[in-house]
Amino acid sequence: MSPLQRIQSMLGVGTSLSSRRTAGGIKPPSYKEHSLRSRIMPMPIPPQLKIPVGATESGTIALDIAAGDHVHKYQKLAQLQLSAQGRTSIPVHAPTSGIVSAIEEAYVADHSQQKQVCIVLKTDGLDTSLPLEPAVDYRQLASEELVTAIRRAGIVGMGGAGFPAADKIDSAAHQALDLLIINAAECEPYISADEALIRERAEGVVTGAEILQRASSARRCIIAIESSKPNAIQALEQAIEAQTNITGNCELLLVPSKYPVGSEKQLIQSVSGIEIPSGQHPAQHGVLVHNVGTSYAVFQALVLGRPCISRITTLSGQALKTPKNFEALIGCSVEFLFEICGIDKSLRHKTLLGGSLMGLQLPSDNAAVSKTTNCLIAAGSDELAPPTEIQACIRCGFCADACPVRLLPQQLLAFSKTANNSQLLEHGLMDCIECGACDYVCPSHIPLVSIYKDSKAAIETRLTNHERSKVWQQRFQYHQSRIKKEKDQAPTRTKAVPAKKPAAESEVSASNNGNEQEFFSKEKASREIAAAVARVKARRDESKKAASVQDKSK
Amino acid sequence: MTNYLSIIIAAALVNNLILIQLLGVSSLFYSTKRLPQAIEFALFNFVVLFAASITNLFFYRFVLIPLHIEFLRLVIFVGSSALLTTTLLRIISARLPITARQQGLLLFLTGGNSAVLGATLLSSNSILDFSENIAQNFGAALGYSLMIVGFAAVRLRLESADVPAPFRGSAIALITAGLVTISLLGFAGLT
Amino acid sequence: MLPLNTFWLVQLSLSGGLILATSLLLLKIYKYLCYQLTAQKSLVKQINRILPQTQCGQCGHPGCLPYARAISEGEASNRCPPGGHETILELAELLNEPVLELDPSHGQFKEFSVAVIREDECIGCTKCIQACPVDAILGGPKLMHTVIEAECTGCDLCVEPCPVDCIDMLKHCEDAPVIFSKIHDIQGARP
Repeated sequence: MSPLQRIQSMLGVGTSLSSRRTAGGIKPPSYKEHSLRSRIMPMPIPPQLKIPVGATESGTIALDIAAGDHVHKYQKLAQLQLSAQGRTSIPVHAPTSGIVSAIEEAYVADHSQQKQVCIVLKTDGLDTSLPLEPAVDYRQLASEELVTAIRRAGIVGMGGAGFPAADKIDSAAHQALDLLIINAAECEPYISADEALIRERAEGVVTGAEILQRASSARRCIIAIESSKPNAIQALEQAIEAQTNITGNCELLLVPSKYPVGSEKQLIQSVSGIEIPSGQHPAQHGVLVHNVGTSYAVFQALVLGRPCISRITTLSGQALKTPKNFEALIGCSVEFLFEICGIDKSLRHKTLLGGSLMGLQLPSDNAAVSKTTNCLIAAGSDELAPPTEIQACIRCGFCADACPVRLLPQQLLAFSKTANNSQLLEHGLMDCIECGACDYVCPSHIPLVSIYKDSKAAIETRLTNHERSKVWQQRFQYHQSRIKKEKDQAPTRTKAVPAKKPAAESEVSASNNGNEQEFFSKEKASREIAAAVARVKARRDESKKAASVQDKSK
Repeated sequence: MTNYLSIIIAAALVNNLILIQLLGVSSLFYSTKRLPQAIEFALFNFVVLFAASITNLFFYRFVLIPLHIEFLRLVIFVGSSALLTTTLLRIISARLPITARQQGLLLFLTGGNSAVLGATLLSSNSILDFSENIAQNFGAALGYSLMIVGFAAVRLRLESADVPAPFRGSAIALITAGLVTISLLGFAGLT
Repeated sequence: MLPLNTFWLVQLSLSGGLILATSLLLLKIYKYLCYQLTAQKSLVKQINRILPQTQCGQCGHPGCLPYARAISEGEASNRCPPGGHETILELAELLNEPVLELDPSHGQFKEFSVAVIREDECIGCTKCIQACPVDAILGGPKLMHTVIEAECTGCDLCVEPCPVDCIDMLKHCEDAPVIFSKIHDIQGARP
């Protein structure tokens, strides 16, 4: 891309490939420079890994190993069969060699905030690995084979969603895909993992993009990056040039540097001008978005034959002496990573997962790094937005200007206060992407997003209650029709019963052996009933006595 | 034609039945805050107000005046509008179960409402001819239903507004009504 | 202004036509609104949709549908303890009534819980099975009974008839031990 083209694409004029204007957005200070000062660091092997497999509610877990087994690096440990989609599974591989000491539930650094089943691996430090699968030429493979390989490597959306990458491609399989967007627009403050990855391993990213394009058979592939990252842009340009000389046809597009341009729907709008309607998937409009991290993991899986056992994670925050990006092994504890960066625990105010705007507070410092842990912040006390007094809404309207989904945040706030669910739904609360732009601009420091989250949760419980009550209503109708039927048939039944009874009894005695007969025998049953009734009687007497004693004492 | 249009606008906005003439103000505060239901109410009121005032006017012009019994107009007006309202109510309650539940309220909103009577008395005293009177009543009914819908929205907004304790409830509603009245007065320059 | 006596026929037909046309238009709008607003849904159905469907009978009716019918006929809408304040709010909005507090004579709001039978104490009397309004209890005469947790509405109706007091109402979320047993199952089931 020539300088002229770059200027043109930044202005959104001239070339055919230019970014479009999107609604809202803010420009917070990025704080990325601290962690980008050094290169991506390989990680020393920690003494213990807790490799997350998944929450038990999200699917069925099938383990390939048991506690006490010795495993090698790259060995498949388990897989999570997602219950929602019958045939999909996410395999988990060992990041290093060692002995499985336990399988337990532990906190994981991802957005679920719940305990997940983890495989605890005592590492032996030898890092002995299984022989990697010989690399195959991905250009020779059909798209289905590519998808299978991606699924086998256990690759999930590295941007934070954690949706299996193979499923995402599959879901768009029956649609004619027009555009594949590789999302390198890492717009949230503090997070620099993708930028570091591109800066140092652009070839891998571009190759991965090409593989993804082949797997999803998309017509075009665009790598979208913010215009504020010159080093990464340069690296990508070189890699794309090298790639184009062979087979690829990836293109580079600069998108304006504003938050939240990297959010899926906003990025699509910024790149292609298509605004995905509420409740629809991008694939329905011929667009698919993958993260650069995913793209690099695909490159590793297909070209190097390496399953997904590590990811680039940014460690930042004032409490760290040396913020940097790590190639973190999946399953290492957050605390271990902080220790390597020289954490000063007295400075740490709170620990965040993700960027400063959408980040969540970690439930535990011992949480394990998962495939979606893109950034960890050990924030100092005056870092991030210090908690200030919440004041009344002054109707300035800044939030409506900042909202990238073009909602009316102050109207939503008013309806949230009165829990007016129907109005909230009508005003599109469910389309809120919880980006925090409204929070950031609010001069009254109203925590809008957390209020919306509560309202969303309340609406969702209301909806599930509705679903539940529908089932109950049906059951009640069945019950009533059954009672009615029984009443209608009552006279015939009383006649039929004496005739049937001996037959039934003889059947029982014929089919059951002696033991069971004894279990079902009348005498034993009546004995047990008598005992139970006596027990209850005794208990009631006792409570009566106790009551009378209390009365007397009064 | 412009003559009729200006009469309609004047009757709907400048001489608004509720806020300027202060006829049937109570219906503002007993109305609902659900917008679809408010539209339902407003349309019903529109039908009743328009039909009743036209019928009354018809009686006045073509029965009472020729027979020189104008002094009976109040009795006739009350009787005919009440009859019309109950008939319409019966038709509607068969079709709209939810509205039927609020029959008492609707009766209050329409039959017992001073707006119908006021509108007819006003137009019977006016110097306009019969077809112009129809336009005037049309405008009056339009303005009336407009205010009911508008106030449903205001009430919805008031519900979530941070109102100082002494003003909560009907106090703030009355203040808001006053403000809307002032804004309506701004239309006075139109005619 | 035309003299009344000479041209009254013309005026009459003109204004009559205008009234007729406007009324027809209004009827059309109103019919459309009827269709839009209620969409073939009866009031009872709409009320029933809001009620929590626990079928507990605390309102004094045998089930939610009978209570919905009673509300549509004018009974107070604040007699549903399991629905809590939310149900009352929604009903009040639907019916355009003032929001009332829960009627304490019909019980207090309790958090959702399910019935659990202490199975070793059950004598198999089937009394609870007969009491259950949604057929969520499984068992036969003189055999141990158990509650199908997913279908229990938490209505309490089975607690009273049990002669040995072996039914407890437990909070729904106490399934932590279940998860752990699942993990052990996984470990046990491996090849």
